[in-house]
Amino acid sequence: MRSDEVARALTAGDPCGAGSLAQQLQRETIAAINAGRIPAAFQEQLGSTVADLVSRIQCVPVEKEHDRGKHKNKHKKDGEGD
Amino acid sequence: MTETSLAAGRYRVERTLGQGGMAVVYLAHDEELHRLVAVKVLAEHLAGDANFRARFLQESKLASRLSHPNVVQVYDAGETEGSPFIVMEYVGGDTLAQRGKLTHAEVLPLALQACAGLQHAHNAGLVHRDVKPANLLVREDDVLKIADFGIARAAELTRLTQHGTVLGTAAYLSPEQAAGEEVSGATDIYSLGAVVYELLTGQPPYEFESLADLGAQQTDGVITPLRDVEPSVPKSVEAAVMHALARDPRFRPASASDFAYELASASELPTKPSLATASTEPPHARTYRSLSGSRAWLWIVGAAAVALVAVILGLLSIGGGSNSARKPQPLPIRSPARGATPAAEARNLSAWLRAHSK
Repeated sequence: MRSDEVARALTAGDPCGAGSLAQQLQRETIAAINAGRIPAAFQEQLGSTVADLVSRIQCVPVEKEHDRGKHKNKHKKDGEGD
Repeated sequence: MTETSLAAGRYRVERTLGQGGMAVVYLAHDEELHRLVAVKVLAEHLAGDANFRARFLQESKLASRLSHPNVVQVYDAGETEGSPFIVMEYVGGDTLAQRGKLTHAEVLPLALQACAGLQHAHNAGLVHRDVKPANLLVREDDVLKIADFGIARAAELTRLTQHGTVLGTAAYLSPEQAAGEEVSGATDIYSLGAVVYELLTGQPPYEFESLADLGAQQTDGVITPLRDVEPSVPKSVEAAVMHALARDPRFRPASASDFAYELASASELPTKPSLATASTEPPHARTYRSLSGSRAWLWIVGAAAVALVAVILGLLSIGGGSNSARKPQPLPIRSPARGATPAAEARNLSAWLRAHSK
């Protein structure tokens, strides 16, 4: 499941990869909703949750880290847990 | 019954095979048919309960109607000296409880056989209600057989399992069983999913200390995705198992054969032999079962190509949509919990999707 992949990427300390996966999840979700294949009762919860997830994942570009002289910890690590 | 024989000497006891809270199982020799059999004799403290004794025999007789390579055959049932007993096919080998953690390549062929046995029973109108590793016997040639059909039913009907023996196997109880609600074939599918989860990861879906704790976790808790515990398991296998573990029975695979189909498709195992074993459905079987193997694989490849879209379409196509002919579901739908972190939110979303999947 794509959302599992997002969680795994975050847990592995790859927020940029997770962000990309989350955006892909959002595109696919929108496409599924537009295709009329997600029941109406679920659309709002699903769409808003996915949008929230995308907005919460912060990818810090490697170049900016390098410009600021930070050679370690290029990716901001995300926490884990429910 | 004497120490060495029962049923008026027909079954000569050779040794004890096992002893549980409900019964003692002996290896015996059928002196008339000259074959080894397993004889399960109800424990003394239960044999004194006339109601349970009657249920035990009644359900055993129902179970004797089953005849399938993946179900332990019941040969005979009766009472001797006030103790009910069941005479069953003797299965050499061990149980899945003795095998511990296994690889997905080892687990899946066994799971497919369990699905086949369950489907046969469900077609006959029997629900096992206590699918667990100790009830899944595996012969030396890796043929799996499901044991103890009917016994859980008898115990349940007399409410002997509410606070006692059920705790030993609660790890595999479906949410509806833990809640004391009506059970169906979906109950067995959940339990088998829990067994497969544990075989693959070495841990049950939920860790709990009491039935109340289990019920609370099944209501509000989240099952750790299988691959988070055991990353070597293919994604598609994870999806199939988590589908079987859906909280709401309506959202699990529609039948044991469906679960077998998902596992077989997911695992890239040759489906024909497995599904041939599992093909115990009535003539009104689901449409895809009549597809040829190549068409079925095309369907699978197509589904994979559209990735999450296919997942969402498959998981969330429950009633209420404008294109659906089903009745709207009167369920209160809560949003996924936001989670303290994005990772937690993503996991909560996964749990929500699974909880609302079919």
